Amino acid sequence: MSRSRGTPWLASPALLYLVVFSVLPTALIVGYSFCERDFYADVKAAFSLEAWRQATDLITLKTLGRSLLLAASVTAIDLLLAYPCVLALARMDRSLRGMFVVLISFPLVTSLLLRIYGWMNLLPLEWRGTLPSVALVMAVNYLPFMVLPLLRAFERLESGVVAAALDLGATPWQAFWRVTWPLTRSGMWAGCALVFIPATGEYLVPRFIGEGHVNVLGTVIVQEFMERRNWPYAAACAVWLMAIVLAPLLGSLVAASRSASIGAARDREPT
Amino acid sequence: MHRVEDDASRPAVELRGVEKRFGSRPILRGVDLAIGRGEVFALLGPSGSGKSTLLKLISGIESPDRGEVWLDGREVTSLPPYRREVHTVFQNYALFPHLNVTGNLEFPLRLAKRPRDEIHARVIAALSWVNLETLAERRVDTLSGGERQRVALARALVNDPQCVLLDEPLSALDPHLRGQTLALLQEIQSRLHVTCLYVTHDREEALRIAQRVGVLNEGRLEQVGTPESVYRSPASAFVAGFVGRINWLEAEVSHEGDRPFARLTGGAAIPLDGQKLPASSKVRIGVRPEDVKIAADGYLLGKVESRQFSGASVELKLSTDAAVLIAELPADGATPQVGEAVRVGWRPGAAHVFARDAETPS
Repeated sequence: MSRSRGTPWLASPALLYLVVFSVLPTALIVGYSFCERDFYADVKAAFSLEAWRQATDLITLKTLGRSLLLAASVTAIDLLLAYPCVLALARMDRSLRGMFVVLISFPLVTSLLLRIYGWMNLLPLEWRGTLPSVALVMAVNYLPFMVLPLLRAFERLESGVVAAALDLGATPWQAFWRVTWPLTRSGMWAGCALVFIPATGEYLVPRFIGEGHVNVLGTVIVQEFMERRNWPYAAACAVWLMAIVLAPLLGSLVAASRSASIGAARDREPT
Repeated sequence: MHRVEDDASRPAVELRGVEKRFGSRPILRGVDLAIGRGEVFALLGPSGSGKSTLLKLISGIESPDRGEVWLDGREVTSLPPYRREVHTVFQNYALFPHLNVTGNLEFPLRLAKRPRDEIHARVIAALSWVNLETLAERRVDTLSGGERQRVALARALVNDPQCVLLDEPLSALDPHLRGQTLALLQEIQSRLHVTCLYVTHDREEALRIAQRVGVLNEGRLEQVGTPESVYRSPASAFVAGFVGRINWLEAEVSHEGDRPFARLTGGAAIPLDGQKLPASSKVRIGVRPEDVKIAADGYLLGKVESRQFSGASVELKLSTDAAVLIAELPADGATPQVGEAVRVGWRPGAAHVFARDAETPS
């Protein structure tokens, strides 16, 4: 399995960076969540399960559920918007498609805060401070992250396989489900991950479009750290957030490595 | 929507007065063609002659502006591809990369809703036609070009179509694999008696595989016939030049008594027996290299410019007053050396004479 055993030390700068700026802070957060609260300093260096008792109560679990619902809605909205858009883009000729891709990515080069303030003026008064309007604004912000990987998958779709499906007796609908769909699914999953993962921890949009009425993990963590100074509880919420993001990621990694090893085993079979 | 004609001898594929243009550009200008059941028909033409468009009209990916398409006595002009029992072997194979070899072969059978055990039996049979039994479970992206080609062939054949369309099927293969694949294709065809429409720009492929050849030029079928008749009696200067190598000679018709002659540039006169051409009209005369002979009573005096030996034959480049001629002589006889002066001629029947206004390839 170990294909490149030659020069593992080449990875050391990246590894060092990872340990100092990612592994250590993460360990610190996990550690804080098991400490006692201190109103004046950060935490008291004493073991306590109080933060986790609070982080598993109904209010926190509801917030957790709301965060998941929000991220899932944003992902679903983006998928529904992106799929037909990409179907159309894939049929355009190259230069026109390039122009549309630039237009679609354009929001990424403008300030997120400016866009949020723009939306605050655009949304009708009675929509402000509601979960659907937060989801709507987030979906618009994340749309490029769904469109681009999906478009890449469609561009890689070998020309002719859809025509071959039609030729072999598939209706256009069957050709889509039996050929286009399975061959572009990986791009769709990539797009979903790119939207869902950051959306679970979103802070700015729920804070400004939600106007304090939409509590999700992102807003709660900031509130507890900055205003209420309950660092152990905020740390526990941050661990929740990490768990949400890591669980499907680890799952897909395990699935990928398993299918890769099956494929490798199949290729090794004598023919 | 579609009509049915009852006739036991009806052709498997028939085109009636088919016309197609893309924008203002005419691609097919009135093509009539009938392919018999179990026949191997090769459609030969240069790129841009309309071959691929003609295939698409039969498979249903395109529809004609005018004219009708019939399959096995049924009019299908306006039917979509999935309502036609015609399958294509694509130039780039277009295998489904997410399915293994078996999955690719099952694809048309599942769509046709064949019973499970029939699907299994047909896939096994198709794998044996193309000698791929051992690769049944392999992913198609792990196969070699030749193996992919055979999967594509098996996939087009497995559901027993009324006609298999082959779109330049060998062009992506290494030259040494082409002959092998062509032989395999011929073997399968003679076993299954499936109707094949084989599209190519390679004259050798077309002449080798087909029972009949159609030569397409600028959207028109210029000639349809057996490989021998197309090669030996071309209907136009284009066909003569496209189906094989040929020497061209410019000439003007003159009559001596009531016998017509062709006066070549340089003065030599060639009898044009059986040809009805008006006096002083311009003609081109085509002679194939293997018909050019060294003979004491030859029409032209020539000098050997170069000589290439290639085993079975010797190729000479001869400069004459009329034109530079290529001659392909059997290597077993005595052949002249470079610099020798020889008389050059051919059997009267070997010369193909066309009126000058007909366009000819160089």
